[in-house]
Amino acid sequence: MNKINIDNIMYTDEIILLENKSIRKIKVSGKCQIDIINSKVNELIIEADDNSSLLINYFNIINKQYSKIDIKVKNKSSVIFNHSFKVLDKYNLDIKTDFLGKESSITVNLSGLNDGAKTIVDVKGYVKKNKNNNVLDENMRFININNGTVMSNPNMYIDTSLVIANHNTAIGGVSSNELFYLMSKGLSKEESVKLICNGFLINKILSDELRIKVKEVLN
Amino acid sequence: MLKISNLSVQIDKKKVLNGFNLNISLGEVHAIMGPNGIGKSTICKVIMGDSNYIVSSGTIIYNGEDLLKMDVTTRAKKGIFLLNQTPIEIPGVSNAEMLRMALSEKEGKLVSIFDFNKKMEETCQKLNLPKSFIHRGINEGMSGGERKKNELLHMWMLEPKFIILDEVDSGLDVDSLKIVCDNINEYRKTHKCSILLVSHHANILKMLDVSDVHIMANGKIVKSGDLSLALEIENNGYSAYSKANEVSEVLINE
Repeated sequence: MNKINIDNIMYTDEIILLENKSIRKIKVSGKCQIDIINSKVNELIIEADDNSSLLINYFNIINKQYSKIDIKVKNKSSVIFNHSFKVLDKYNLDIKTDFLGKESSITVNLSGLNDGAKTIVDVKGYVKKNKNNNVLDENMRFININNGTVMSNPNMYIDTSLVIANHNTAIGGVSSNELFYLMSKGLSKEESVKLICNGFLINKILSDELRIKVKEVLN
Repeated sequence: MLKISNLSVQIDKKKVLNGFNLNISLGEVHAIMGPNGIGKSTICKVIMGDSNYIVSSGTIIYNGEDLLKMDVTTRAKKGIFLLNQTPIEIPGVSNAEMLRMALSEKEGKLVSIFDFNKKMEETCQKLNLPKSFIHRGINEGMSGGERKKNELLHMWMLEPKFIILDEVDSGLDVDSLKIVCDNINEYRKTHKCSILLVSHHANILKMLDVSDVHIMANGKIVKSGDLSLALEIENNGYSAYSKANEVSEVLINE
């Protein structure tokens, strides 16, 4: 049976939607998907127990925010953390991941749109000694529009050879090929840019319900 | 319908088209053939308005209007449609979202969701596509054949008048090619339009009942004819044309 503890409230659902909340701690034992939108996340601890599976889809429109997110997994567990965000002013995001056991995986997917904003992202992935056969993936994608800027540091601190670890960052503007394609269907440049940016933000969200909500927020 | 006169185009300081001329009337299907890298795809992109290509001289007149003065969006709204050889993916943007926006833009008012959905479903049926394509990301995770069909879905929805098919047959198996060609022919029967096709194969020219075939070399059309010209190329290749051009180039230099 699922035991999901979110800020000391117990849930047993497989899909949980958190909207307009302030979240500090998520602890999962079992299998669960948590969709988060328009919620305040300043310091968040995410823990997955043995043999657990957690998918988090988290979307926010950010004015000014500092967030520190700590992800810990025990044995034979997986955590996928999909975070999409649109930044309007400033966003400092620190993510730390740590394996407390073996044969687990952590995936961090970040999709950030900087609309004239400044974003600084630090991801620190730890795989310590004797924490073997774990998989760590850090994927960061950013689009800058209206002179937005991003500094992204995808770091890994690995102290074992029995690990699969990948990290990457891509920062760019709106793709000129995508822009030409949409305009060649009759969309204006402004509409095309909007569609491309919105598509980028929802693309990694693995929840139909949250996708619909995000589209509503973006439109 | 479309008249290209003395067009010269460059990209990255390299001249790709040089004195290119072409005249296509309403209802005609023209094909351009030529060796790789000769500028066939360039002409397709230039007609559509790709800003990577710089037009240094010449004109393109479309239904009496100067196409070179229009941006890409305006050209599309005027009925020009480009089907690329490798249609790109746009992650997270659905066919429905894009098409409804494009139709609303074209008609100057928001398209009724009921009429739109009905037409989308009918078109999917026509193309033998599952209804799930309506809300799928544009060309996202689709095979080569599916992408071409997805582009045809766009064509039926947007109802263009001048269709550019840039190597539409590339990557298609025999059955898929037949479906695509049958579909384009059906569109031609119900919509008055012209087609400019770029291909390496005479087969698709036959299937689309091409009226005029043009051979490109050195950035321009060097010979025009009917379908027999395509068959000649299929048998003998382009060597006769490239040699002729090499000679003329040498003479000019001398």
